[in-house]
Amino acid sequence: MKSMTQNRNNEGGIVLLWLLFSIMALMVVGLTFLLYAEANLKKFKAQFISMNLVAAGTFSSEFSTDESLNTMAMVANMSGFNGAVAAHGYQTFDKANLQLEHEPDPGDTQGVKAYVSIRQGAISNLVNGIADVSTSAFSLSRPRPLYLHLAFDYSASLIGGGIEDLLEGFEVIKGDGSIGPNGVLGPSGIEPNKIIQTAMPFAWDESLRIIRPWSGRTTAWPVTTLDTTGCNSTSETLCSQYATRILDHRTVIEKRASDLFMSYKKASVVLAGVVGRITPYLDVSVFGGVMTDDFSTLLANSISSTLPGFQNNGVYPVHLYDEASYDQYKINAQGKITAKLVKQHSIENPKDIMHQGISMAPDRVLQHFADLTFSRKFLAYGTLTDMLGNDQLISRYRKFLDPPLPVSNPELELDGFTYSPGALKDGKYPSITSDPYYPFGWPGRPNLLDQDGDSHPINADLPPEIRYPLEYNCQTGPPVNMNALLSSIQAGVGKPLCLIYNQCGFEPAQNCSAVVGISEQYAYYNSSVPTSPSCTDYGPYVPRCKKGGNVIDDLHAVVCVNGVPRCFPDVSLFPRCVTLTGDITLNIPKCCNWEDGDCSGVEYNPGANPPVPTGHGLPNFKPPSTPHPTATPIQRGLVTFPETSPNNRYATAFHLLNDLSPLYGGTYTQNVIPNQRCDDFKQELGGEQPECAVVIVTDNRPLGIDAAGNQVITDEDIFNQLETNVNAFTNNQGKMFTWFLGHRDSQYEEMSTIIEIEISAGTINPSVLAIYTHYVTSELPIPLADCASWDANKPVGVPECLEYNDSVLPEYLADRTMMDDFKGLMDSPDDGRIYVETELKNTIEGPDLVESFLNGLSHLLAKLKQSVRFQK
Amino acid sequence: MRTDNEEGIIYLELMIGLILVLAVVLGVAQLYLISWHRLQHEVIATEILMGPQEGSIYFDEVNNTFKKLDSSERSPVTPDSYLAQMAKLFRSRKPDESYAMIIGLEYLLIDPETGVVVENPSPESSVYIIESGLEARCSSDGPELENTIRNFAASKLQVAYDYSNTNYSGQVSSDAGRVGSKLYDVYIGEQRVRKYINLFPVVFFRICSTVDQKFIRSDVTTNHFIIPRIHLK
Repeated sequence: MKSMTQNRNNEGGIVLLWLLFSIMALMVVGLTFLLYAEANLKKFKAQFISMNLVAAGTFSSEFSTDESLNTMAMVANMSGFNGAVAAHGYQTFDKANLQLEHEPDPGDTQGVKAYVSIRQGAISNLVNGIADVSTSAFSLSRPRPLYLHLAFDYSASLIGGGIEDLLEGFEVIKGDGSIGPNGVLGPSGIEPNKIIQTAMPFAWDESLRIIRPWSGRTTAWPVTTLDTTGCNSTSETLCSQYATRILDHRTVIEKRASDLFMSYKKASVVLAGVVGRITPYLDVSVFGGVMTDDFSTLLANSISSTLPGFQNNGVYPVHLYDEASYDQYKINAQGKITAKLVKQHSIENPKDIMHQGISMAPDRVLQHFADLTFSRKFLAYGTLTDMLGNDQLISRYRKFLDPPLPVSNPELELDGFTYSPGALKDGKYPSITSDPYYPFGWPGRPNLLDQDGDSHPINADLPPEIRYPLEYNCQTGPPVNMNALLSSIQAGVGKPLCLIYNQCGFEPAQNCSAVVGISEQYAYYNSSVPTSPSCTDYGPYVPRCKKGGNVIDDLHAVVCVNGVPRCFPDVSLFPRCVTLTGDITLNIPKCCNWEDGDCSGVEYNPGANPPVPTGHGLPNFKPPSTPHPTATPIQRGLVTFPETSPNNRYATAFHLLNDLSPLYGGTYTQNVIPNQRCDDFKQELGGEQPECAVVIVTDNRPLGIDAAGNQVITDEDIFNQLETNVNAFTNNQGKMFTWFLGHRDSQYEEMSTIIEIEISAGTINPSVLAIYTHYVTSELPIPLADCASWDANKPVGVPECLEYNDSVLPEYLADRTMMDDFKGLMDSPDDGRIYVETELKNTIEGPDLVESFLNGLSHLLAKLKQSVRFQK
Repeated sequence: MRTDNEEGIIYLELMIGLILVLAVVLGVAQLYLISWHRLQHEVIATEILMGPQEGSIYFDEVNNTFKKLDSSERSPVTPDSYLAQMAKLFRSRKPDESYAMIIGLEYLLIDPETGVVVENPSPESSVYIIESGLEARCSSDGPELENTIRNFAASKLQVAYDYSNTNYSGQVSSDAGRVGSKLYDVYIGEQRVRKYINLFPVVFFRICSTVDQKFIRSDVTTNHFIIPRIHLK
């Protein structure tokens, strides 16, 4: 019995034990499930928080890391990470860990990253370990991929239109137009004094290093025509690159640094630095008209197949996200530039506009327009003292020329471009090229083939024409080493002096083209120190001028100017030593002093030779034996540079945009619409919802003329091409921004202003007033019957009747019609085309960003950025 | 010999045991279901974060300033339309009819020159209520719930305000405390000029659902906020 009772009790106990075990098992299983569920919940929480963090950080991720981390840290605090700070590295909290990172450089790892880990207890970790559930998450985000093309109109329509901002910037005039501390009253009104004029941009001719008079002619080198054939004031017509040889200083500034153009360049740099940084997939280009055939031929003849070819469509790249970078430039046996491909950027490895240098590839046409570099560096590094030794402190004007760089980390260097051609020897820079007129030297353009080197000329290497800036005008006469008798022989050495004589307006005028005409013995400059080009050092050679390729030109003379052999009258030709059978050597003639009897060992050596000589004084018409007067050239002070230079001044797109001159030719706006690039981009990044945008900065309507001013595409055709391209782009969801920065008055508007001033002053002729009221204000041609009256009584500066009828009025009407059509096409927000009209003023303190500019900028940026994509 | 009492105790213990088992099962089940619902809330919140969005602010071209979404013609969408898009996603993703959401769009006000949060935030959004989830408390408490989500938003915006202003040093070169969405940062002469969007949008929402199984009933409520992926379109 006892045993049965015990058995029953045992059974009862077993039941209870079984029940207990079952409950425990259930609890364990349930707990495991719960912990598993909680782990999953934490995993999703961590994922959500990390994604939220990177979404917040991405909106400023194109800027500094600190500000991206700031926003992320703020959101982290909001998410419960009390005390989270904007810092890289692991941050530990009570129940979680956090890591915030930001990689600003383009590439696979670019973007904003957040790592969130929610901690658990030991048992939870054990369960999660078994179930392989991680309670941490990592997120990476970056802005939605955007292909952006920034296209800046640097066309010739930016030439002219006034240089008041520049004169004010150099304190020549005051803000109210009155004379400033650096101004003097001259023949053309308020002019810069001679010393400050030297500090202003383009004081020297960049090929010949001749200092330019402010107005009037230099006698250091003659111009080819008596009248400048500059640009027509209404459009890019007549803007030939060879219009004149040496223009006066004021004209050059108006052509290369007009207020309108300077403000365009500043705006371009600001836009490139601000807008260009929002995406790594960026093309920056400058557009204008197409290059001349001569230029294309020159490029084709000088660039080997190792470098990309030149596409002559009016659009010239500054910076491409997928461009190839070259190095190790050499000249091959055919005289062509070869290079080695050292880096290829791609969509995975786009080029960084902020920190990587622009391509120095010689196919880049724009380098032939980088004219401002020397002037900018002169203000930055150079010293100009007057004849009394007083330092003019010219660096105070540098902001007027310096690029307004964006804030960047690491900071961009204010200066850019290597600029170290070395010492001038025999009229050439041996380190650059054998061409004596190669414009890539002081005071011309930087040598873009050099990736690194000195940032400025060192003092010891300064050519005397720069160290001692002396002005030769019609009062001083030409330098004494331009000695020669006036000659009537075509291509003779005296012809330059004949032209100088005529260009200065001396009487009687001489016929310099006639085979016979003037009598040499009655018109001469100084012949006491004869200097002439010679090739005798090299063998049986004679000096001749060479065209492109190896073609000898017999119509131009080789003469010596300042001890340097030059071709006259076309300085684009090169002096060479040739054999009598026409073979050309690489040697250039020497300028020999024949007083010594021979030329051997006499080379042009700026270190040993005296500085630029004094002038002849006015030409004489006396027998050669009569002593001639000499005149002192106008001394512009003393230029010095530091003896040593900082190294490695690579240049960014900002520096190139800042240093360019206007292009010649038309405005090929229709070719800047990047339809093909956009298609390719979308194809590459199809799964990531890529977008495309183009920003066009322009001053005028499209214009289909070539470099010589000839109409090659009609207004109708160029507009149709533009419309087709624009429609294709915006129909493909592309965003388009046209940034209109104002434009120069047309000739019609200028003449109207002149007449209105006279009307206000009561000085207008009644017949002119009647014609003006009836026809001009109504935009009608003047009847031929009234032309005589108009021409006889019109105010100064107003075009004659036929010019008004045939060109001024038709061009004005055509421009206005085209401009209206252009604006109508580009100003259509519903189609994704935003048109912003604003302005920017350049001042002594740098660009003055007016409210409309900043508002437009904000609008543009807001439309382009502000979209985040998650990567992981 | 086993007495009836002993047998009764065994049965009683058995019953207690079974009840305990049942209680454990139900308890675990409830906790699990609540956890599951929370998980669903997180999933939905993440999907809203990643899902389709309209622009959350707009640029007023007439006044040249960034503005909150409003009912004007210049505003690309109204705040209700903006939130309705997220609501639409919520409706399509909610597992059952017990899910409800209350959602609001708020803005941190940013000093456009410094990037620092200005003013003590006071949420003022027009709260958008999803008319679904009749079983959930989210949809039944009306104005009280609006205040709840506003209070939630207020507490978070206050944290943002404190963070920004505590860290901001006022030094031109320092980035600390600048949390706005930056537009540009350039040197104009010697002067460093920064520009930020004067608004920083944040979407707050509360997801509610009801666990309603046999013997198990519980309301699950979670609060969330997201930074909109798109500021302007």
